[in-house]
Parts: sequence; C-alpha cells; structure tokens
Amino acid sequence: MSETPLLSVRDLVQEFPVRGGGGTVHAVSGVSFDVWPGETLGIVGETGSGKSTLARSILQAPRPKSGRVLFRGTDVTRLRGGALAQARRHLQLVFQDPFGSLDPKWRVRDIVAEPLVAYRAGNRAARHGRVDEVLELVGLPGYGARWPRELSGGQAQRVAIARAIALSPALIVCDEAVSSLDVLIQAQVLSLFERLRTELGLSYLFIAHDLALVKRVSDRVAVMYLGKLCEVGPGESIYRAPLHPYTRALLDAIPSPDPAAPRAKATVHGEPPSPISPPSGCRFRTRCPRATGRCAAEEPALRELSAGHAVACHFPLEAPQLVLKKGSETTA
Amino acid sequence: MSALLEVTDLRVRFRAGRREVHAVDGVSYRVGSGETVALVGESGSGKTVGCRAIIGLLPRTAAVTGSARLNGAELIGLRDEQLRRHRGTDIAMVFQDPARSLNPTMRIGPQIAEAIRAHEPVSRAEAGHRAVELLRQVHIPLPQRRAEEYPHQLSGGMRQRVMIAIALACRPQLLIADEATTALDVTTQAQIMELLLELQEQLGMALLLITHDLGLAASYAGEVIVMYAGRIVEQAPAGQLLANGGHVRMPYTKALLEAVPRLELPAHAPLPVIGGRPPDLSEIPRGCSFAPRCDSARDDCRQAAPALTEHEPGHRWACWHPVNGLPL
Repeated sequence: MSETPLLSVRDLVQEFPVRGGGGTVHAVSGVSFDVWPGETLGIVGETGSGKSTLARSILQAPRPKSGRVLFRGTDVTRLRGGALAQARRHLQLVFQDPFGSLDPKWRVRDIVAEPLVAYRAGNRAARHGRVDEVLELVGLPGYGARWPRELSGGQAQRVAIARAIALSPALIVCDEAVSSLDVLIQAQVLSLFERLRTELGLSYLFIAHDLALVKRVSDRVAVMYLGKLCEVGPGESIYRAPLHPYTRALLDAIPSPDPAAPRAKATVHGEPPSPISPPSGCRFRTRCPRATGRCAAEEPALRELSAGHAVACHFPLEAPQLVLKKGSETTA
Repeated sequence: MSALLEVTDLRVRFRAGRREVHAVDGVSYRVGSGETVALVGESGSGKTVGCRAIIGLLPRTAAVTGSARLNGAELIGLRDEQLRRHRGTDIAMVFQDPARSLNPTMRIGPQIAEAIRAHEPVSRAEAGHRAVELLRQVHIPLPQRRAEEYPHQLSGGMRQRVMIAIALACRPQLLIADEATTALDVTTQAQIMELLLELQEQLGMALLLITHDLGLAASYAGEVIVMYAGRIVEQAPAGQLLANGGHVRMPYTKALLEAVPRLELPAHAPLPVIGGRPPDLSEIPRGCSFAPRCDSARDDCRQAAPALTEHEPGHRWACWHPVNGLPL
C-alpha cells in the first residue's frame, strides 16, 4: 500500500429535514475512514444505518452537510462544476437495482458509452473500441446491440459494471451491488469484481447489509449503526475477535450452512431507534446488553485497540473468555 | 406412518401465449407433524409456485395436477370455498413482503380479529381480545396499543410479527414461511426465526420453510429439499447433507453450498463460479436440466433426465454422476 489514501472521509455529516416538517433525519453523523489504493473497504450496516446515504454523500449527490471527502488528496466537497466532474470521473457507483440504473430505451453499447461521451473521451471509433473492450472484460462480448429488457439480472448488473469501469476509475462504490441477485449469479458478479480488482488495480468501497458477503471481498470491514461507525478493522479480526457488542450480535445472527455449527441467535432485541431522534451518547446503548449510565452520558470515540482495529465503545469485548466471565465482572 | 402433508407428483403449468411454462414438474415430498422442512432453490426453481398450488393461491391460468393430501384429505382440485376452510385452520402461509399482505387502511387489531372470525364463530369483542393476546404471543411490545395502529406505523420486523399472528390465529398444523425473513435485517431475521421455533414448539405445528438461503435451511430445518428448474434434485436430512463431513451428491447443491459466503474463509478466497443461468421453463432440455451448467455433465446427462432416487437411506438425489461429498 502506498503512503496516501485514495479516499479519505473525515467527519462526514448528512442530514435531511423530515418530509412534512418537524425534525431532522440524522442519516450520517460524523463518519471518518480511509480507503487505500488497491484496497477493498467493506461497510456493513442494517436498514437505517445510513450506509447508502454515506455512499451518495461521498459522490456529492447530494453534497454532505459537513465534513470532508478527500479523493487523491483533493477535497471534493469544495469542488464545483467541471472540477467536480473531473474528480467524479475516477469515482464510480454501482447500485443494487441493475434495471433501475439502465435506461430501457438505450442499447447496451450506448449505456456503456454514455460516460465516455459525457467526458468526451476519445473519438467515436475509440469509444466503440472501449465499449467492446469493457463488455469483453465483464464477460458480455457481443452484447452491445442488446436492449436492457433482453438481459437477466446478472447480465444487467454486468452492464452497469461495464459502464462504471469505462472511464478507468480508481474507486468503485458498490451499494448493495449483488444483494438482489440469486446466489450463483451473485458469485459470478462477485468474482467479476475480484477479477477487475486484480486486473485493473481497482479499489472498492463495498457497502452491503450482509456481513459474510462483505467480509468475503473486503480487506477491512467497517460496521455502521445508526449513522456512525462502531468498529473498523481487518475482516479476520472483526470476525475472530469483534470488539463492539453490535458486531458480536451481527455475527451471532448469521445462520451457518453447517447444521453442526451453533445456531444463529438473536443476542440483541428490538430494532434500531429512529434516526430522527438518535439516543444520546452511544447510539447502540438502547439495545446493548453492556450499556451503563456512562454510555448515555458520553459518546464513545472510535479508538484503536489493536493494530488497525478500532472500536467506538466504552466497554469493548476483549476476548471470548472475558465475555463468559461477565457475570463475575459486574459483581467484582 | 402417515404424513401431515403428502405431496405426490405435483405439476404446475402456465400458458403464456403459445408457450407452456412447466413451473413445477413432478414434485413429491412429505412433511411430518411438527417437523421443519426446507425447500431450497433460486428464483424460478418452483419452490414458491408449488406451495401456492397446494393452498390454492395461484391464478386461474395455472393448470395444477398431482396430489397434495393434508391429513389424508386431498387439496388439489378443491373449490375456493372448500380450500378457504383449510387455509388458516390447517395451513397458513407467511410471505416475504408483509406490507403487501396487510390491509393498509385497517388497524392491526381488527385485521387479526377478522382472520379469527373468518374461521370461528366468536363475537367481535372476543376476537378483539384474542387479537391482542396473539400480538403478545408474537412478542409485540405494548400489544394493546399496537392493535390500534395501522400497518405503516410498524417496522418491517413488526409487520412480519403481525403476519405471523394472523397466520397463527386459528392454530394451523402447518405453517408455510415463504422467504418470510428475506427482506429483514439479519438481527431481525434471527428474532423472527426464534419466534417461529418457539411457536412451533408451543403449538406442535409443522414448518415448511421456503428459502433461497442454504444457511437458513441448514440452521433450522430437519429435512432439506433442493429444487432446480421445477424439480427436486436432492433431498436429505440437513445433518446428513450439509454438516461438515456431510455428503452433497448433486453438483447443483454443491454449487449452491460453495456460493454461500462463509465467514470462516479468508478475504478474496477464490469463488467457485458456475456459469449460465437456469433454463427457460418453457423449453426444458431433454436430459438433466442442470447439465448445461454442470462441470461433471457427460453425454448421458444430455440424453435422459436422471430420476430422483433414494440412493442411500434417507438421501435422494437425481444425478447420473454424483459428486463424492464436499470437502470443507
């Protein structure tokens, strides 16, 4: 990894007024992280965690309320017009709904060529060549003349990926990019992402609700809850030694395809509070089995507890054996 | 031993213009009293259509043949009003999208009460009390107050609990959960599955889980049935099929299992990829329908479809060249 991050997000805040008046949705409330060249950073979060808003705010659509988004050292939140467009060219987004993002009235080749035309990349012949090249790269050679309606979900997502890589971006933000696909098609698209990573040196911000999926493709994993990151670390340590009680709960809830493995269990109950009135202090405290008065009074900062593994919790889980002794801990 | 539900050679065909779509193509299985059986497959495998055929929830354009007996009584071919008597009392179904199954203009309590009164001659007041009791039973906090609310005031997880309450209103012997937790967050899914297991134990009902998630099937079902292109391709007790050292025989099941993201695998671990996609159900190939995507396919696979046969005690599969277990 090189010295400077490809993408640095600092204290990103995004808020929206509640439709119909009264109150504010605190969708993203001070999120900071880096994505290094060649790295895949996974962000896992459930409904209402703000992960999709985070993705869009990074791309300045809409612009964040506050905070900085440094792409290759340039703060894109300060860029306007042509300068922003130039930065955005290297930052592409792939969404969940492949058909929703493809214009049904355009042929595949025109969909893929669209960013090339928008950025006036090369002449017509060069653009044709590039379209054929990226369609080949995503495993759809000769699909240029097809219409979106002639594609399966997996193929449509490949077209969206072809369009995203047409301008040779450095970073692709994937927002639930494989979530709507059947598992075998999901594996096809995931392995395409992996191949493009090694062949083109791409970096990804891979956002999804499924921790097992995120861990599979990510070097590091960040866990998001109600607008904040609660834990960031290498995927392996997040899985083997989670530090945040919410991460633990996510891991506990995933059913294993091995019937001999411990059965998935609900170790947190209820549902996240509304982002319109998030709890004071730690946002997870209302569902946390370890919460104390301190968690309501004082917001825990994200701090590094071991190499590259940070947690925002006053009472992080340390090792499994300590968790088992929790009863004696409280009486001591 | 007679089963609670016995499905034999179930077939569902749809006419679509000149084409005929074979959505379910000769499916047989049984669900014992109190058992949990998982029907696993991808979109279009026929897992949902087959179950809807059993409880008469298919459009009239569907031609259903074969047999589905509940406690020995035939369900296929019943008229709507006869089926309605079974639906809710013997069999109930919970769907993926609770928002679409609930009436948005009606308060929660009266909706549940209506379901009770559709099957039992009880007073409105009595049904209202029972509705609140059911909300309590599915662990909805402040059930009295929730009964007064409308569906849009509830979260997805809460709405699914309401659907389960409605399904349970008449204590069915069989609950069909069709991707009932798919749209929910994983922590909510775990809560709903715990609720279903708890209710299953209390009421002694059987559970038919329709799911695309092999993890869910392995964790909760006693028996796993894998479907592909309208047919059952493999079936065995979950432990026998999927446990470490278990034996998956059908290459399709193997592909499904390998495609499930496993937490214990390192990042960027190579993904075994199966190309192509399921066949068009109006032109099912002559031989094995998985052959065009199968690595082990040979000429005989393209000549004739292998029958689903019990090759080992309790383990059925439909494959000419089964794989030898799955090293994990």
